[in-house]
Amino acid sequence: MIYLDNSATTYPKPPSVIRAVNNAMRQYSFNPGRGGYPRSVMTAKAVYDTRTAVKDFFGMSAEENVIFTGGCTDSLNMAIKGVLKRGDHVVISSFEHNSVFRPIHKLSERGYISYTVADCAGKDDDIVESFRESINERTSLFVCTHASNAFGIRLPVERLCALAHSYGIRFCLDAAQSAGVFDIDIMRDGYDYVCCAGHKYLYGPMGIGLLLLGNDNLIDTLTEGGTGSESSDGNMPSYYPDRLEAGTLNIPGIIGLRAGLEFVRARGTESILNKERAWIKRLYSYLSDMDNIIIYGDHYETDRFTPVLSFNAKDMDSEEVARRLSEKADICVRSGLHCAPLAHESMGTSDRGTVRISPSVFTTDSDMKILVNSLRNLG
Amino acid sequence: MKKELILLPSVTYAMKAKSILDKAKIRSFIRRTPKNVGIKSCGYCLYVPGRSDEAERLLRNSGVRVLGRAAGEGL
Repeated sequence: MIYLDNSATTYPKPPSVIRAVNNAMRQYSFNPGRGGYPRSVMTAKAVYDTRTAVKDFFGMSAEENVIFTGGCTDSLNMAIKGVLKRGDHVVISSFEHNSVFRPIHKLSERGYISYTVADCAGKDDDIVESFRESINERTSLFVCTHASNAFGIRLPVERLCALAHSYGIRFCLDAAQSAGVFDIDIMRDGYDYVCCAGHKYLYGPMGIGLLLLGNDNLIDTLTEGGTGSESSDGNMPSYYPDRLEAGTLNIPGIIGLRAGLEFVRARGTESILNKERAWIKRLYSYLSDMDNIIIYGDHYETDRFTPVLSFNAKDMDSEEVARRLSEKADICVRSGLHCAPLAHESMGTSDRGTVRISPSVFTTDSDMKILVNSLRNLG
Repeated sequence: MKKELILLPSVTYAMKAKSILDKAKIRSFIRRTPKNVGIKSCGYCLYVPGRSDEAERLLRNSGVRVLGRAAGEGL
């Protein structure tokens, strides 16, 4: 099998991650933050060590501002619904995944908030201007993906965050596709909220995500329940992480995530990015010479992209291309709308979607050669 | 009886506090907060034999939320 759907989830997972999850199931299957017996405290220490590793990896100031969630979708819902108040206005990019678009759309449908989709199909200056023009007196939050999961386009999030703050607006970064690939430093870049998936480019298991808090403002809770602290109070604790971590934590996920972080740190995000971008640039070069292939955007000729390439065959549906690659060469790619209808609307591909290629550190030269040969012989 | 238990709001703060004290070479032990110390809810504390005053100062200066002190042997 040639796996090129790493934007959906990375595969294979590093052996160190598999070992860590296995070990967690055997050695750390105790409830942290509840008991005082040694195994519970030992498990709490393992969780704390992961918080520290996450804090260091993302340039944060405090471990307690690392919130473990069930995934990036959970994190985004927690940030969006925890921050927004009745009457607020939100600006999102035109490349948002449904994990941003749907919660905001639902709040809007219920008359709770309003929102504007900023057009991001242009250059960086145009994108910043589009966000600026979308601001009104009720705007309280920007939510923006670091890079499009469908087209790989990197958005100028540092500039957008600075723009937001200059208007007293908070900034939430969707780092689902970028954590582990781009350098993210929360203190340096000033993000208020950063949402990450553990199972994508941080190489952890599924079912673990991160909500990283860049400020000390209390956000409202989405889920209430036991935290092992202030148990006699009917209210959730007023301090992090307990405020946002009701219920028993996903210990194998957390310990596996730490192994994934160490895997990425050992290689370095810059090194990983350079290697994967080189695959994509080479692929872009090959596909550009093929008459039957359409590639979307010119960002592959710059450094404004994450290692994702979207294309279509001129005379074939994207689902059909993916099916043929799978059946003829056992190549796994993603087709369709990639849960990002706004992005396809923005790029004019809503009617047919695209075929998406996304490599990982485990992708080989041979994988790419087989892919290119298979595309040459699609018919 | 000397108040050698430093009361903390949660296990995360207990871990953070112990980590800070470890770096300062102050010996401490994580315990569940006893129910007889005037705090109604569950939580964790650090038992710091001999150096609890110094430890509390260090923790407060490091930004750790300290709920108070209590007597106890950390058993």
